[in-house]
Amino acid sequence: MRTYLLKRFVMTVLVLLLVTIYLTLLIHVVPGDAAKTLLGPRANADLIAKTRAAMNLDKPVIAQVGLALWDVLHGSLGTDVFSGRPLNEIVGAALPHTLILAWTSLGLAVLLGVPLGVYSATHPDSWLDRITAVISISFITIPSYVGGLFLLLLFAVQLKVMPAIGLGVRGDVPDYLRHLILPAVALAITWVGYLARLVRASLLEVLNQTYIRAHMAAGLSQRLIFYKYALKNALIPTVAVLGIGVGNLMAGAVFVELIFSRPGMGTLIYNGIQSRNFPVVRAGVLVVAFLFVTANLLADLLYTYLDPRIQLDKTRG
Amino acid sequence: MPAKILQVEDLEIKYHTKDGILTAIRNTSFDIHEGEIVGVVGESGCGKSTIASAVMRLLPPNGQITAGQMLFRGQDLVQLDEEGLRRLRGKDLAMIFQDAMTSLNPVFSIEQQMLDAQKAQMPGSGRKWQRARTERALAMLERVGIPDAPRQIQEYPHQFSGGMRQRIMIAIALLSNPALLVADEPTSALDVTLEAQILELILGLRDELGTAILYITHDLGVIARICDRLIVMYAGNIVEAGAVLDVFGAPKHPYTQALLRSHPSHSVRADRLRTIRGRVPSLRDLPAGCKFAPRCDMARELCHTAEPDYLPSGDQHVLCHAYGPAWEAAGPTVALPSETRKPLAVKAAKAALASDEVVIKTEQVRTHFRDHVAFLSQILGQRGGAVRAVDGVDIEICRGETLGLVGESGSGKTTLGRTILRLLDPTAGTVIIDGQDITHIPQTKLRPLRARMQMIFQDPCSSLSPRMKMSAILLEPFRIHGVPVDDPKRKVDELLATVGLSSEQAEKYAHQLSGGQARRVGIARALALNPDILVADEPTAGLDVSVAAGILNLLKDLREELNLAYVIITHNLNVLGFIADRVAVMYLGKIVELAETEALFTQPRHPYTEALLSAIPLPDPTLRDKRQQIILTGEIPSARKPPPGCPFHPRCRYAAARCRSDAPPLRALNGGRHLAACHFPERVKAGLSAG
Repeated sequence: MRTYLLKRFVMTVLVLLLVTIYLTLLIHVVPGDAAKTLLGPRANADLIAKTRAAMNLDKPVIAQVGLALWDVLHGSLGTDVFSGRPLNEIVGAALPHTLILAWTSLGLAVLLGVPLGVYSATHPDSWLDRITAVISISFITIPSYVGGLFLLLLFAVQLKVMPAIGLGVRGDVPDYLRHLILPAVALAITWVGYLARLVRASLLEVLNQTYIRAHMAAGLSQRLIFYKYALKNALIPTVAVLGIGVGNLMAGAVFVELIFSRPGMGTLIYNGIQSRNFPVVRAGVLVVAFLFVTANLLADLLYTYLDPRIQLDKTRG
Repeated sequence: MPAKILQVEDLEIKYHTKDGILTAIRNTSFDIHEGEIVGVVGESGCGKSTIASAVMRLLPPNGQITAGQMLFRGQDLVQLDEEGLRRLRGKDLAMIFQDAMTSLNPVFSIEQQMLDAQKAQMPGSGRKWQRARTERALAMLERVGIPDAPRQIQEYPHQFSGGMRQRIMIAIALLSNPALLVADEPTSALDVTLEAQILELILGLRDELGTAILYITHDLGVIARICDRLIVMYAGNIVEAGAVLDVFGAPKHPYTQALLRSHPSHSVRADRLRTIRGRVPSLRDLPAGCKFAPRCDMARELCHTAEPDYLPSGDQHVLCHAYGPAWEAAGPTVALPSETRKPLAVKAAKAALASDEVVIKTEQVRTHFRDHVAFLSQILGQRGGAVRAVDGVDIEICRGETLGLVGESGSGKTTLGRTILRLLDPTAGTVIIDGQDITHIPQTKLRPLRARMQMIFQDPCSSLSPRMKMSAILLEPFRIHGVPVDDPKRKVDELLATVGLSSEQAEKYAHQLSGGQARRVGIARALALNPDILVADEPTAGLDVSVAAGILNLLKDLREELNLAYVIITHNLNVLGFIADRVAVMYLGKIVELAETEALFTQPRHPYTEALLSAIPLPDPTLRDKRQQIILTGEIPSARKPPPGCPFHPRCRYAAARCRSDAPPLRALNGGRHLAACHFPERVKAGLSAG
């Protein structure tokens, strides 16, 4: 296990370094001078030069990459060109909101999607299964930004039962949670449908296996068979999809944060791109990449728990 | 006579399919008494497994019991609701399944599965109950021969071999000491040596616990060894039932007679194996009249028009007009179309060339599979071991000769077969085909040779592309090797005819063929380019005896007509008795005995061969007590770490101190062509009685 974790750690560092290199080079691919765009048309040459220097844009490309890597290796994300504040601080302030949003949505998706899938699989072709199928598929086709807008208009604008935008009053936890509901639901909705379909399909396959017949022959109750013996098998492919899905969730979070005007990584990266504040974009994307890699690692670790046949540090063929 | 524990009366089972409602079981009645083993036998598709599932009330969702009753200790199983069934299943009824690989839940430990399986019977939740359940589980595991049970119970199914898993399955089934155990082909997927062990275990448990057993199998040899009574099923009906000694002694129904005749053990060194014409009819188009009439040589006009009644004939029950009152007036015997395949005349010239010309020769061939060691682990200094699948094999095969390779799973026989064809690269040694050393020649030079050496793969269905018609599959070899075909359609018909298939099969896809037909197409494809060498991997595995007999007859004919050199790989010595000229017995990557078939069967010189021969289930219940059976203990060790000295010594009943340290070389005995790798070949007892 230790070898495996070490291996994964090395891989993570490599991925982050590659992302850093890629992001640093990206500045030069985007048309227009970053400093000029950032400062706007009325900036004077002196200020532009200063900003270029602050962004290391005056140095050769290879040196820019080197400096960025140096920063990352030291755990520094760089400095915001505008405010001069360290980006670690800025990202540190935005990240928790995104994490809370993403994990709440994920939790919602699992809490709703998995039981829905189990119900469909254990009552195949019942009318509830068919309704679930229609609902699931329509949920899958709703992108988070459409769902978000719809929820916003319905619950906040029309019915006025939910707050529309922002995080709520600082320090007021129930208010924070109230503000979390709509964005989390908007983000989760696609995944509820997707998980329900996935769990249904893999559970149906599992229920056809001989060992389920063997459990029935041993006189186990249906509930024990469905929720313990079959579900653990059926969750294995689901976890694989969820590991990748977290990345998707992050992409969705960008839209949802914008729609609901929530501070977070999505808003941060979006504003960074708008103002060509490249250090901010780089820091934001790097952190999202890190989250993505970590989520995949978590999924893989969850795998070993679910499936004893998988040995992560297996050295034998 | 002990009390009846199960009375099945007029059972009828239907399946709802997209082709409509099909009747799988019709007016079927039988009894099982306490402590009795009742065998159910028949070809695939006759309804054996449906009966097994029905008794457990575990029919698939589209299956339905539409008539009849099943009285279990007076309680009708057909009327029971899900809850009542569940209570019965955990306590009085238990089942074991064919494939132990898939009948244990892969993601739960043996302990979890065994503890939950006792909940129906010992539902208490306190610590005392918990301990009682654990103790019972451990005791059961020990009883079925799982060594070191307290540690092994923590393990997961994939950590056990197939034989061990089947033992665990039996342990779980017997936890509650059930009154009736339904066993659905529990040994069909196992090697003969393991089968013998499991059958012994089942018999022992029956004697000890008094469990009645409904034993489903396609192998009459197994029935003869363990059952008290048997039921022969054909197309959803019981066609014959009676005490094992009576039925085997004087089989009445033509189907029973035919099944017994086609059992391969009856045909050791015979010219041809007996087969049953045609195949089991599909439930979709069952013939009117007697269901067996279209395959029955003695069928008269009456048989084709009227269904026979269930006729008691002494203590045996027979479903056949021939034993009924109407037989005299049943009309003339209806002649059935001949099924014989036309021999190939074209290749006769080539056949005349039979000679001592060696076409396959291996010298000290070794094929090891090295462990995969990840790059980072290599840096961290980890070294992998190797599986020594083939470990120093010398063989020679002449044109027109058949060499049989036999051994348990894990003996390296398939690896050797693939190495001969260089489908695998040997780690050391040389492979010489037709005088040419092919061990290291590059793929480009190897390709033209490939046309001359072909393989028939073990699983016929997965070795035929599901998206190609048979005609395309049969023409593919020509395309691959750039051989022009003048008239593709004629060529396909010709190849199909060679293997005894009609030209209609050319337009079919793999899933539309039966197992036997798919196997024949595999053979036709291997023959397409007119090879000299054919390696057949388990050519009859998974086929019903009669179908297998047809395949073996075909292989034998083709060898004579085409003068092929064959390597036949099998775990079933019976197959080789019929077809092989010489047999090589493999154990842990080495040949332990190599001799002419006759000599090997009558006087084996290696204790392993002796045990393999002894483990073959023979369809003769009178041998049950007379035949001294050698049951090998344990299983074949890992080829990663073979035992020191003679690799067979841990399982050998003759092993002496010397065997533990010195590996015996393969040496010629009696100055002849009989080779054996044993220090004490003279101790080995005679094999099967001749004939």
